[in-house]
Amino acid sequence: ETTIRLSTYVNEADIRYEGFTHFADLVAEKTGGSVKVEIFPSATLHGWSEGVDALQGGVSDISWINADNRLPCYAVTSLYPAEVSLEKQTELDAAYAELIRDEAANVGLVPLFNSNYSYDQEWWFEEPIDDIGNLDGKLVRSIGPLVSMMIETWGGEPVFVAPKEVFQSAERGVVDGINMGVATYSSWKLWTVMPYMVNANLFYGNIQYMMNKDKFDALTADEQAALTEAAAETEEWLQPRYESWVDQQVGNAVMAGGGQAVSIPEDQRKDLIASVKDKWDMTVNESCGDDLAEQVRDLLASHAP
Amino acid sequence: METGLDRLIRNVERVVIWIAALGGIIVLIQMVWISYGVFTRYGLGKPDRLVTEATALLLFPVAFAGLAFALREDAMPKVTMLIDRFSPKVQHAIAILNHAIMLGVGMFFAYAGVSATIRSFNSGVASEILHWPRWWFWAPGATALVLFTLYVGLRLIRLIRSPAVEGEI
Amino acid sequence: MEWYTVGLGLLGLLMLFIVIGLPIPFALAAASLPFLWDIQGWKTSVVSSELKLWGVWIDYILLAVPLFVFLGELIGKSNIGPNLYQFLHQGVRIKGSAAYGSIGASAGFGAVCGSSMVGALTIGGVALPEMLRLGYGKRLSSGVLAAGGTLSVLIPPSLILLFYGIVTDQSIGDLFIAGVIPGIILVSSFVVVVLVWGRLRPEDIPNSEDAAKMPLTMILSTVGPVLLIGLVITVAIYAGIATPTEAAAVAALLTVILAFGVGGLTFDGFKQALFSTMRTMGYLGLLLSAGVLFGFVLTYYRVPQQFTELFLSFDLSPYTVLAIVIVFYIILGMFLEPVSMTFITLPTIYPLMSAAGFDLIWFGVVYTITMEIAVLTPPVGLNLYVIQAISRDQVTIGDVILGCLPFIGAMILLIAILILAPDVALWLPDQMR
Ligand code: NA
Ligand code: NA
Repeated sequence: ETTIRLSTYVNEADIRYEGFTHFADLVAEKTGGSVKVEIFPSATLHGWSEGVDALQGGVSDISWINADNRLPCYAVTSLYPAEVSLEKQTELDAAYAELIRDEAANVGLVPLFNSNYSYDQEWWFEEPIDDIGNLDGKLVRSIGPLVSMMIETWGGEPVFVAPKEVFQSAERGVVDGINMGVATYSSWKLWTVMPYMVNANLFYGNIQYMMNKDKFDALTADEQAALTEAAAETEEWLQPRYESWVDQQVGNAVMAGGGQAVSIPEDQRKDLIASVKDKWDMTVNESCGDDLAEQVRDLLASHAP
Repeated sequence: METGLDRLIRNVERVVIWIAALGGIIVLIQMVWISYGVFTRYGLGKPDRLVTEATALLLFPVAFAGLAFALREDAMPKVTMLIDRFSPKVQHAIAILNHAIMLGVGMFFAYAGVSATIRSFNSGVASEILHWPRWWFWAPGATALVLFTLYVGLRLIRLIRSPAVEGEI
Repeated sequence: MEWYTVGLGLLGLLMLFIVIGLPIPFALAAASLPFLWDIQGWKTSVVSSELKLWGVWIDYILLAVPLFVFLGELIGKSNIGPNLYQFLHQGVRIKGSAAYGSIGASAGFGAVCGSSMVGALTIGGVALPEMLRLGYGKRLSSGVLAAGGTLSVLIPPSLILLFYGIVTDQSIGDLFIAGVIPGIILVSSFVVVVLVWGRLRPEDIPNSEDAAKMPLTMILSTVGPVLLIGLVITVAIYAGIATPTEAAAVAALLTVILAFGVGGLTFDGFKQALFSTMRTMGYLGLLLSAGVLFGFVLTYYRVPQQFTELFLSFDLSPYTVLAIVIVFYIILGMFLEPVSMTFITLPTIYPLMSAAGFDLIWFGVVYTITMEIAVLTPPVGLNLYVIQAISRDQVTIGDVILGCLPFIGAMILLIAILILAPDVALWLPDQMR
């Protein structure tokens, strides 16, 4: 009997936690109990940036992977400025995972579980905003290089705020806006202080959960298949639940804060993406190599709406 | 009479103080940098891109730079009400035991620190926003842990060699 | 291993190490490591320890710790702290003014300093010899100063509230602001304690005090900086100029300037303040990491969750649970110092409080008051020894302990008020939204 420790940053109240328990149940069922998945929520095993170290060192067996420079291509493509249709989301994610499989194997990891949050990428502001392409010197909290570049391109100023100070910064007006998915956002009850949401859909986003390759290879072929199938089935199971959960959160957010949610018109979205894409493509070419970079872009293009 | 061991301990203590001073200088840098960051963001509307991640990374060496210094200054919180009642001989034995445990813990963390420095150097792992190599920060942290281990080890040897004296813990 | 075997084993080992006088950061680590090795083997536990050393301290909000410690040390090493006391008791000429001045100065100092020991040392160092010289009773003098020092942790900024917020993931800003009104109530009740003390034992308060008048410039250079620093912290946070961590940096920088400019700080004093800060960081660095490692081993075996479930299975009323928790902290507080206690116990206790339906900001304030009591209760009471050390040949430790009792009474009364009227803590944070 093998025990697999799955480490996640989501907490037990999050719908994605239910996804992991669903996954654990499926694995137990498919392997007849020979593989047992233990879930460690709320980042109890390691911090945000330490997924690779935790997996390599055997602290966890399955972890989320941040934009770690040891996986250079994944680091710059797991968040990519592109318009994607989520109709065939699980296929898209599976194909993306295939593209970075080699890179992951280099550091001893196997992509196992896609955590797609393309659906959940919103911008939040203290005041109503007409055009996200014209930030007019606004201070906007950024999460990394790509988002910083976007904010800059659109005339805003990116600000880095530690996760634990985001709420206070939003509440007291240290920043004027935030780029953040509602799943994270709502759990911090941020909507009461930044009630104006722009549903922008400007990224493909996929924070993957990877597994230690030695641990994976040590399983029998049947067990490996069971694990992979359970992951794929869970993604399928989770997608509608996750989306309706996000919708519900957005609804709550807007109602509770007395604000408003706006979606960006189609042509504007194209313009916004185009305004940053060329620059980011260069970064991606450099990190992935031209071939792989082209494959990622082709994949995303083939899933354009 | 000052023995060779005493001299060695005195020299190590000099390094201990210097490392603590370096940690103190980092605190000053953090203080000034963060204040400057507030000024450029709130005053000029131009936030500093480096300050948040850079000062957070710099905190890691600070957290361990004072470890050996705190031991030298006897600043560690501890409960001595029970052992105060014992005879000097027993107290001496307990002091040796405590130093041995501190040495063991110090060795384990120093080993972890050095191993983390080597691994982060080899893998080239860097911070997410600034891409600063992690080993830049692990190295001083590990140095502080190794220094602590060396220092507590020397103090343990001195304790073992010296006879029991009143009130040494 | 069963969760209770692990829980009792860890706790037993920890207590053993603490009792034999092993410094608490090492006691926590030494108790955790055997269990960690048992779970993970040698190689993995090395990596786990790395992740705890690194992950705990790569946290921007912890920058407030060295910065607030440094700020308090600067005030203590300059003339600002001592002069604050002189001003409050020489400027106000009523019977018992030195005692009231001590409370006022402790409260004012508390508004800029986050550590109760630094509070007791700074104000106590000046006020205790002065009060004894003026003819105040030993117990009253040492009690009012030992208790006054604890005001530093209830009146924001506060290291205990900061650590509480970190462990329980509550807003530091809300916690700070929640401490304000209870802090003011506690200051007032200390005044009442002195008033009543004077009635019951009039011989403890001299009739006339032959204190020299303070020149106006000295008053300004004393009260001004303290007001300014407190104001800058508060305004910076609540006007959205800075985050709490940034406010700590700005306030520390301002304190450096004021301490040199008007506080008569020497370069030597500056160096001492910096080394004192590193001395404190020296044990906090390992304490936090070892505390998290200890918590990790506990969580790995789901000890906190199981303990909470077991506790709740007795179906106690929320107030019974609260009463048990408060008594637990008062008893444990006799033996441990607050920062260690926070990292050892809080990860297990706060889910329990949350499950019993208590607001975690409110409980943060109640918790902090129990930590104030902890530094005043023997056998391990930091403030008791700090105050006794200041006037070693005149005051016995027994005097300090007895002198503190009425003030501890006031703290217990404050807890009762908070239970009866939770809004005492929660109203102000609500208004600030
Ligand atoms: Na305070
Ligand atoms: Na105590």
